[in-house]
Amino acid sequence: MTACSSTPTLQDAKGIQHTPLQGEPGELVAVVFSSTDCPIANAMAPDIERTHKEAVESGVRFYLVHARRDLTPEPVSTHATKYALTMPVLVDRDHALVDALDASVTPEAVVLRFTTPDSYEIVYQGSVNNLYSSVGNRRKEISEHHLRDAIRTAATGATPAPNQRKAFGCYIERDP
Amino acid sequence: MILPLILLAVPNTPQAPIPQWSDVSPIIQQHCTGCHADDGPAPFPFLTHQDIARRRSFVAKVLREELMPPWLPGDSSLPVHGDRSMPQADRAMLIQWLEAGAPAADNPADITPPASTPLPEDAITLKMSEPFTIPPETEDNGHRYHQDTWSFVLPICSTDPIRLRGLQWDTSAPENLHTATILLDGEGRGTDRDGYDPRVGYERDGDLNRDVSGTHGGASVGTSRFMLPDGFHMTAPAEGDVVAELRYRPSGRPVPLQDTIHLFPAPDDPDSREIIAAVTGVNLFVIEAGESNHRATDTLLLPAAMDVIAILPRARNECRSMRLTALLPEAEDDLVIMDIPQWDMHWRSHFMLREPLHLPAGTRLQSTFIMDNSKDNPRNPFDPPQDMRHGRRTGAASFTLLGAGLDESGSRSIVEMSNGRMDRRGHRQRHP
Repeated sequence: MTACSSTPTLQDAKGIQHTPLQGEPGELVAVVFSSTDCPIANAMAPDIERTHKEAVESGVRFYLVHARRDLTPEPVSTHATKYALTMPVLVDRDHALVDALDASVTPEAVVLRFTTPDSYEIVYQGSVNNLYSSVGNRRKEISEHHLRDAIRTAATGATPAPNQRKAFGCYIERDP
Repeated sequence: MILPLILLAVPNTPQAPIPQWSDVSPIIQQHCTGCHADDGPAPFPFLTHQDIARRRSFVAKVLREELMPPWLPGDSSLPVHGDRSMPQADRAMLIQWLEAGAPAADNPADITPPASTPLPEDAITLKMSEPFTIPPETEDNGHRYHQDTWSFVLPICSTDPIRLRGLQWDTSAPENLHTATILLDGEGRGTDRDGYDPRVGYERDGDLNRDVSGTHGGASVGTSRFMLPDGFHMTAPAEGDVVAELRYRPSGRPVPLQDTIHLFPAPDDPDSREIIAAVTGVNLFVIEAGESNHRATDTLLLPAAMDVIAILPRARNECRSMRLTALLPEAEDDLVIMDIPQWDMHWRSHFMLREPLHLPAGTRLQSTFIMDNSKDNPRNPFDPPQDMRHGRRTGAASFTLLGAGLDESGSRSIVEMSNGRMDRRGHRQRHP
């Protein structure tokens, strides 16, 4: 568990500003790093949307974050429509959120619990589910919902067990 | 002063120069852009320096792990057309370039994707009459071994039989489609099956009784055209149908699919031979969850000589590796026809032999399949592994050899032998 402090402000496809790293003490925020053209992240879109809907009902803030430096709002909006994603979709062109949360791949999920309005602890960081066993190897069905289960556990006030399955997928290139 | 002495002792070997974009772009063009093009089957194009540079870590990873470019046959297999395997020297150069930050001069030249081959002027084009929707996720249909598979019937609408030398399958869903395998049906069997399913197409595999889907060619990722060598043809029956089995990979969103097939009439050639299929494989697998080294074999004795032109392997992803060998009469050693050390059904294809393989009467064909139903098989479709009981009359895992006997009588006897073997394996399956 790590305590951090940072306040990047990111814009969604509609031009609305969001501060995912600011919150009320005790509030949970889920962030899923994604990419418009990562087939692994895209294949998980229906499960990410289901997880988002359940999380919001529990009072959890939920963001999808595209971590590509050259992305403009139009393809982000088109992508969200195509994949029926209804959560706020942010574009992290400067990698402020990528760096703050040390994300490395898409899809990668992070769940934060705020301790003060500007500081949080990471209670989960890892895979969304087990749809893929490795690059190129897609299973027929999801039998482990890592992110959903982590949010459910965190929503009870408990800390999710450390994830046994590190996130893997398309790499987020850090350098320009 | 030991350090300076050591430094002096190190030979001054020149460092290999870091490759530049101009060095690696021909490799990318040859091995990648066939699929990584705009509207290609790969998820993103590799046509500009920036296309690759901004994914350089990921591309380096899949190259290092030899996941790309995908190619199933191992080095000991007979040579086939369209070999996409990448020479190790090219792979090493590409990885070195990526790890060096993908350097390029100003305004690096774009890669030109391979030009598509025009359709023959006499091509007969058939299009699916209604669109099908590939679902966002694999649907639970209660048949865990028949998921993400759908078959479609396209009437040929010809009152006369037509000899064909090839075909081309054009898909509207290139990122989703694994394979299209084709049967030309003159008995209305596909239409009957379609009639039982009120939806567009029907939710079954494309085999028709003992006829294996793919006997009349097909398409796979990056390969849309199936062409027979000179001297061979297949026949579209009068008032017949194309029955196409499509295997697709859901991609997280609904994707409309309304595909087209182009049939290429063959030139008049009285000596041309009709292609047939000979199948060697295993009809039933019963493998407990966790079993990692289940070996299954089958043998098919050719009753007549056969000229083999193509091989179509088939298995689920519990299969780790497969091998097809031939023991020719009088020979002491097996001839390896196809060895697939790392099976992945996503890259299944018709593999067209560079030269037809002549197998004399009495040749013993043997197929071997190593099944891994453990969690250590990264392609195991189930997590955790589940007990596997999978049967298919034409082979749950198989090699289909396409070719012809030396004459009609020889071809007929090979088909009868193959079908008989299929039925005997099926008999054991029903009464183990």
